[in-house]
Formats: sequence, C-alpha cells, structure tokens
Amino acid sequence: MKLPRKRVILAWHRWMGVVSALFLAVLSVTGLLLNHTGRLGLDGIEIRNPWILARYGMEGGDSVETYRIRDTDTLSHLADTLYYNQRPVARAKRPIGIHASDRLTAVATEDSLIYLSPSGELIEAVGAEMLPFGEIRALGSGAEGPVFSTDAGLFTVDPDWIEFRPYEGGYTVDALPEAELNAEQTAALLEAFQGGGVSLYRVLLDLHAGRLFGWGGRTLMDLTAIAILLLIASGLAGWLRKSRRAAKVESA
Amino acid sequence: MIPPDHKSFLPVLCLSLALGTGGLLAKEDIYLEPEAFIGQSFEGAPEAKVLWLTKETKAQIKDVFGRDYPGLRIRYWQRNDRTAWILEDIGKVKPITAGFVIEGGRMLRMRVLIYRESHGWEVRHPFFTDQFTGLELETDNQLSKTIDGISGATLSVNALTRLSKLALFLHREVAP
Repeated sequence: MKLPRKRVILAWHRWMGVVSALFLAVLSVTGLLLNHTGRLGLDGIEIRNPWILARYGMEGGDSVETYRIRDTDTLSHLADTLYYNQRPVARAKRPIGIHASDRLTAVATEDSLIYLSPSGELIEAVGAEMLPFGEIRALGSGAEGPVFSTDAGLFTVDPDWIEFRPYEGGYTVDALPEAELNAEQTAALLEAFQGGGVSLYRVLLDLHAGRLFGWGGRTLMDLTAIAILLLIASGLAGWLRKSRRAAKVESA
Repeated sequence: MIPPDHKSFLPVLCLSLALGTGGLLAKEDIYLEPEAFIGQSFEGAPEAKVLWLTKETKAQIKDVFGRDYPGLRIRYWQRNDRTAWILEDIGKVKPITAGFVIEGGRMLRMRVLIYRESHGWEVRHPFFTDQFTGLELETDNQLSKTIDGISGATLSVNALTRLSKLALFLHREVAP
C-alpha cells in the first residue's frame, strides 16, 4: 500500500493534535474524575452557579415576574411556570391579565387560561385548543363580567368560566398589579424551581459528553473521539513510512 | 498563514462548526381540533359541563389513573347518556391530548387529538385506536380487554390506556 508523503502525514498529525488537545484534556480529566465519583463524593456536591444553572434551563431570580393577588398573595412567573406564593401551580406563559373574584382567580396568558381557587390551588388549565379563539391579547372587565380581547374579537364567559360567547360593548383593562418579592421569598421561589441545584457529577458527565454545550458540544466531542482514531492512524502511518525507508536504506 | 498541506484540515473544522449550530425543535401535531372532535361526537349540540373533584373522587382517580390528575375540576360534554372527555397525560416528556366518547359505560370512540412527543406517533392510527371501541371499566378498575402495544411507543400506549380508564371512571361519576 502506498502511504502519503511523510510531510503530509506529519502535518495532519500535528494539526489534529493541536486542535483536539484541549478537548482531549477535558475528556481525560472529566473521565478520571467520573471514574472516582463515589470516592470524591461528586454526587453530593451541588452547583448553584447561575451560568451552569442557565445551561440546564434553570434561570435565576432576575427573570422572575411577580403580581399581587388579593392584597396578601402573589403570583410569580418563572421559566414557563406559575407560582402562587412561591408554590408551583401550573405550567404557563407569562400572564397578560388576572381576574380575581371570590370564587376563583383566572390568569390569562396569550394562549391559555389558568383557574386557581381562592387559596391558590389549580382548578383547571384551559389550553388554546380548548378555547374558541387563538390568541388572548388582553383580559378586562365589562358590564357582563370578564372580557377577553382576542384575535377572533371580544368574548365573555359565564360565571363558572366554562362557556365563552362573543361580546359587544365597552370594557376596561387594568394594568397587571406588579409586586416585588423580598429576598427571602425570591430564595424560596428559586428553591422551588431549582431544588438543590445540579450535582457536580451531572455537570462533569455532561461536560465529558459535550452535552453541557448542547448539540454543538456533543458534535465537538464526537469529532474529538474521531480525532483520536485519526491521530493513532497518522502516528502509525508515519512510523511505518519511517520503518520502510530505514529497511530500503539497509537493503541498498 | 496556513501552509498548503495544512489547508486540507480546514473542511473538517468548518464541518464541526456548521454542525454545532444545529438543534432539535419540539413539534406539536394536531390531528383533530378538540372542537371538531366534540362536534363529531354528538348529534346535536352537547352541554359543556365540569365535574368538580372532591377529595374522595381525587383519591379514586389516583387508584384508577395511577397518579393524581391535575386540577380541581375536569371539563366534559354531555347529551343524554353520552359524554365526551378531552384529557391529557404525559407520554414520555410531553402531554398527549386524547378525546374519548362514552355511552352507557362503554367506550364508543377514542382519538389522539394532539401529539407532542418526538416518537410513538403511531398511536394515532386506527389500527391502534380501534382497540378502545367497546371497552368498559370493570369493578376492579381494569379494562374489559387488553390493549395491544406498539413497539417503540410503549409509553404513549400506556398513557392512552391510563387515560381511557380515567375517562370511563369519570363517565361513571356523571352518567345519569
């Protein structure tokens, strides 16, 4: 078999070595640590670093939006989840309107309605597929009760919030009553959302596989694994070429 | 400047960067709008109602369904002895929305309305959904016949089997 010229083999070997060196080092170090998870107690170490948590879709307190309900209670929104007094109640987009009555609190998002009991328990989550309109733009109050301004016009709903019917008439929309959580409440909400954080074992495992950086990271780690095979092949090819030349020199 | 011999390495690097920008998008397949499902399920307009779940009913639901069903009330549609239910359960990671029509304690029809998982969508086909026709809930909260699974869609099959038991139970709670 005719081998490529030694200079080409060496160039490939050198470039692959340089480019993959960092990733190889990460693979080696994380692999070594993972092999001794129990002894190092990696499972028991929780990471709360905001950047790491963000990689796992666990945003920090900066993205919390909070609204006042019934003077004493709060409704917060964080990462597609609604929290009633820091307790998760339903998955939903950001609220665009809140209608509180003695019977229930209705929270409108652009594509769903969330009904909560006066004590904040989930009564029902009504998704877009169950509504007679596509997009809710505002939730207000009219002469007959709540009024929804939607992409299909104005609608109102019966006192049990079951059946919607078109509405004609005036209505007013109040701004959402925004509120601030104090440090203790924010910490409680983040605790409910993030739990204890992410274990160091999980982070190292995802760093080892490249998953920590999404699809691109995984691809880079795949390429690094392929680079190892190519480094072996180019190293052997370079060695074979040298051996053959030495044999030729000896026979001459 | 990269020497000529070294330029052959560039395509590999470019490929890795190009692949790195890719991603997987979640999708939602609507096979039948819930409103259309309700319309097809009754001769004449049904009445939209809600079943409020008492503490006792929630405990029974946990027995039948195998877990809590979220919320304090469940919406349904009724005309005479026929009820229709639109229920959701997680297959693997995303909820599956299914519609059930029940009359006299027997399932008349089951349809997968919205499917959000990346695998297991075969459960929407009639060869699978037809198995649910005629199902009843027996006294021990088991279905009157076994539902055959689909390879690669086990979790979706399990979710729909659980939901059909729940729908039959809920019908029993509201049927006249």
